[in-house]
Amino acid sequence: MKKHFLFLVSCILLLNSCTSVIQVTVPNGSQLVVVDAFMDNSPNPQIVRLTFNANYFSNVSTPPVLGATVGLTDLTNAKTYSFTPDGNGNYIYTPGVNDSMAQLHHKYQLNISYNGNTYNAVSTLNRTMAIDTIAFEIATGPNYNLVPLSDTTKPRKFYPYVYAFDSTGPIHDYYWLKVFKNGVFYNQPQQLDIFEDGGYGHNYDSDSLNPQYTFNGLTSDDNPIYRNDVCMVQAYSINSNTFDFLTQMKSQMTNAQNGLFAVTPQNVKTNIQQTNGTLQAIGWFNIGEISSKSVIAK
Amino acid sequence: MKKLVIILIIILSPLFWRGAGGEAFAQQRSVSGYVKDAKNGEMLIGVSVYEKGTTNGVNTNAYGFYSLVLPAGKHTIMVSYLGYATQSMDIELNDKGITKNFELADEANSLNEVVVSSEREDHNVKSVEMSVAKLDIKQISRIPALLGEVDIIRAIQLLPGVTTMGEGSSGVNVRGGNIDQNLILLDEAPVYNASHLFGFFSIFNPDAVKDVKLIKGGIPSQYGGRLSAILDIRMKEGNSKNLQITGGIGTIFSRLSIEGPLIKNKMSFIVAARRSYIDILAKPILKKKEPQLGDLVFYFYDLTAKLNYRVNEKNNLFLSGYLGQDKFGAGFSFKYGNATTSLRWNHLFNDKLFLNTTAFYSNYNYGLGFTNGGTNQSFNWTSNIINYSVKPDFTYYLNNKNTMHFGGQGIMLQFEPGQAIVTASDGTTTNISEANKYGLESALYIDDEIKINSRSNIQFGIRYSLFDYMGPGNRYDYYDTIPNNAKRIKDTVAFSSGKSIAHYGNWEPRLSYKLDLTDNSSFKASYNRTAQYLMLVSNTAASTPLDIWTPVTNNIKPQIADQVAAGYFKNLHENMFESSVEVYYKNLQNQLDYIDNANLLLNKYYESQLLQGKGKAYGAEFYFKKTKGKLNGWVSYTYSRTLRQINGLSNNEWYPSKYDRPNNLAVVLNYDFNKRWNVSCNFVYISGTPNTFPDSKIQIQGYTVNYNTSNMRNNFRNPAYNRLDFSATYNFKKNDKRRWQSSIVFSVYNAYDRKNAFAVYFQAVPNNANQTQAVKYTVVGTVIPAVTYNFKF
Repeated sequence: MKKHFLFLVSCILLLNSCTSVIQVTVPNGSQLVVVDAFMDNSPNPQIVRLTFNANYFSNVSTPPVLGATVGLTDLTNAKTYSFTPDGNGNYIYTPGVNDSMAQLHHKYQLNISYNGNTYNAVSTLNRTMAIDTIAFEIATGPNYNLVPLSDTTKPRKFYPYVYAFDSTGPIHDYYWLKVFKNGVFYNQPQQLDIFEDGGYGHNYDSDSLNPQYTFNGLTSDDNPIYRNDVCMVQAYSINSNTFDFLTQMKSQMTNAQNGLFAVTPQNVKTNIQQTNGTLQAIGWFNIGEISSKSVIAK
Repeated sequence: MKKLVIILIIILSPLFWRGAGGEAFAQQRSVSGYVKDAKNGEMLIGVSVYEKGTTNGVNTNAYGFYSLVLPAGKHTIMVSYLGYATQSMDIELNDKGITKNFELADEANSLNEVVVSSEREDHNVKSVEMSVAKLDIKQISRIPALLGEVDIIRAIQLLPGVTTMGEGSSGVNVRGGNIDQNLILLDEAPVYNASHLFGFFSIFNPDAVKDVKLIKGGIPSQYGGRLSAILDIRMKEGNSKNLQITGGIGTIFSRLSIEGPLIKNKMSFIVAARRSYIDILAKPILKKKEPQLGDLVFYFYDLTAKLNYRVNEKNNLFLSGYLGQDKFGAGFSFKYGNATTSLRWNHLFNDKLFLNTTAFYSNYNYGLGFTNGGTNQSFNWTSNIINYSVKPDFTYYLNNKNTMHFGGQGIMLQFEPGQAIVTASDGTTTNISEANKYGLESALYIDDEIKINSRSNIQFGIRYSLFDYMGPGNRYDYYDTIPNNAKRIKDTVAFSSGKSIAHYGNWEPRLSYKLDLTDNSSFKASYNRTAQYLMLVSNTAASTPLDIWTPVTNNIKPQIADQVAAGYFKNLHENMFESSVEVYYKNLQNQLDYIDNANLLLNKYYESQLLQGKGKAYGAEFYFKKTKGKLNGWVSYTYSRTLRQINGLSNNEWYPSKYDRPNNLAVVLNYDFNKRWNVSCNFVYISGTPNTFPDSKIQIQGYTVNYNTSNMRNNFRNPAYNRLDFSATYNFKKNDKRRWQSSIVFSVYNAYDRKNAFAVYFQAVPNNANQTQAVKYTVVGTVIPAVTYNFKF
């Protein structure tokens, strides 16, 4: 909400502040391995995606890293799991329904080796919270003026409100809430919503409960939820440093919208440790518990 | 305490030096007094008072006082000031000093007339002062201004060595210093944020300002507490002869000031106010375009007032105050403002010893809040910095070759970094406030200005500054870590009220030297060390009024700067042209920067996010000014660099600071067609601000994120800034019967519609994660015409 101060000031002063896309030339960056490992306790295929970075203005997706070896060790019970490459940069392990790979409070180490370089990363599987209720506010038009239900001339947009209850107590919990429409994830950077306990930041000392969560991503009015669409909300538990990482990632991705409060561009951190070799790796590993709820918009 | 005693002895000892630097004539007597403007009784600052045909002379101080020590006998005294007719007076000094007050008349209607040259318009060359820029309010009012509003800070930006981060950023950068490294004094009280509307305007009402002086180098020892520069702004005392009303009606805000005598020639006052009203005008338009801004709050105001009382020949009292606030909101609210009060007492012990004692109170407040419409949810945050200070300052006119300043200062500082309340939807509130912090900054200083011979002057001084970071409060101890990572908290130690948590002291030597090369040219050199105990914590691209001020702590060391500067000054054509070249080099210690992805807002462990390291700044400043004639104005060009080296950042190599802008050109031209019309234009070109550009992208969870594999900070530059402005002023015919005077100013800002970059961001194209782009953000994206009507009666 603080974002648009300068825009607002400029607008009111009739200074006509604006943004425009400009051409800049930047040199090619040096090569890095990028680890993208977000796993959960569901029976679905667990994917570690390995890519290289790409030149900034290359307009292609980042190239896959092929020929790597990927494994996961449960440090709590010393079990190991090996991931199979799909030839496209994804390394997959499918636990199936009765598998017990992902266990609450266990500590995991991800092991990667590629061309004589070895990397590892650790993450602990934390608890998540249950989604209690998904409610909808029904609206129409770009200015979310509510219209009476009797007015059937306009298609109704459904804005989801999510109620979930964070556990109180001295332990801090961190979540990534993901919203899907008919199975499609709302993947815009400003729709990346993460929480520490009931609040948005690290600085809440208490376990204040703020159970109502309004999904902000839809106010831009693209891809709204209509009647009979399936809205699914997932609560995925993350580590405290994953919370920081995702905060950094979001802030870098949405910097352009921060106007006056934009920070200087900075590199996001990584939790990938290099144990051998010269090819540097960055990226993130997190393993978490997942809970979800689906509701049909009525 | 022992240290303090030693310093006191050092400071007082010169009182016994009496003869230092001069012929210790037993019969030396002084002529002393005040110099005023004949029209309105304002005391004039920096007037030359000198003995005709000699180099014996002094300048009036900030209160218009002078004391010229001469041998007994007959003398002709000249009093000269730029823009005023020079006066001369024959005096005879016998066994007692004499008092002579002068009233100088404006060189009335000097337009179109040949200005009689007065000998002492060569202050820039003859004075030991260097790296000083003075602007008088008449000059400032001629510069074409944004939305037609005369503005002091915007005028200063056209001087050599001064840059900003662009429209919409608060503060100025002087000689490679951060904005928090300038001490801004309004009638001697510090102002923490001198901007209205994020820096579009400054808080100083031009109708109430008398004198503006920017000191970039050779900083005299009476000033301290900031590294880079002193901006000393003095308010008018108020017309002591007649009631006068001045005002203006502009596009954004209107001004009105009233000044006049309360007791003729004894007590006068000035009250000046400004209030913006654009919100009222813009509301209907906005309501249509952006209905969610319906509950818009958007305004600023300021009120400046001063009362002065001439108790008797030996005592003067001045009470000045400023109150200003900016407030914006629409669903959220955002506010900031300053309040200052200063009481000053001038006392003449005798005709040679002048004392000014200032006591001030200053309060800077800022806050942010939002409410979630329809629910109980809200967030409210307010923050304050409160100062109380006493500052005695003595000037001792020993003889015509030796003037001495000495004194001290104590400032009690109270930081209230964040009173923050979060209200949840169920009405429960959480207090996430941070504890207050306390500090005591004190200093003692002395300096001496000595005329070595007819060609050279030297001013040398020393300041000892002390800072105590005091309880009640916590000392946080952190574990060491790899630089550029947040430090982990190790221990928290509570301190009770008045106990010192961290303590620092610094000697700050100051030295300036002038040598006349010819009658109209001189060489000057200076060295100064400055120490700074308060800093602004901000990792946004440009500073915002929400940035947090912090004192030095056990984890944050004081910043120290050593500056050497040298310059050549020459006036041509009987002072019609002034020119100067100055070079400087600064070595900076403990400069502040931040770890990558620092989290500073409302974080009580913010110290864990800070890094300190080395800095250096250097540059050459060229200034050429035509002071008189139909066509007048100046050209200023600066080449400068400002670099940092901080372990953990930019591979531990030197990198440009975020305000490193090597080329800086400003051209200001005024042309007087006749008594009615004059036109002005100015052009500015500044290198773009440094920026960290990504050289590659990475993809995580389907998101595309920028990445800079070189790890170098500020490795590129945003496009250069340039702008052309025009203005034309029409002065309405004066009515001889009435005192009404008025003028209308037409101005065009950003005349060729340059879309200057405030910042450049990098992002993926919305809905296409594979395509990335660089986006330029422009604050002033159009040509801005404006009309302002000014009046006076």
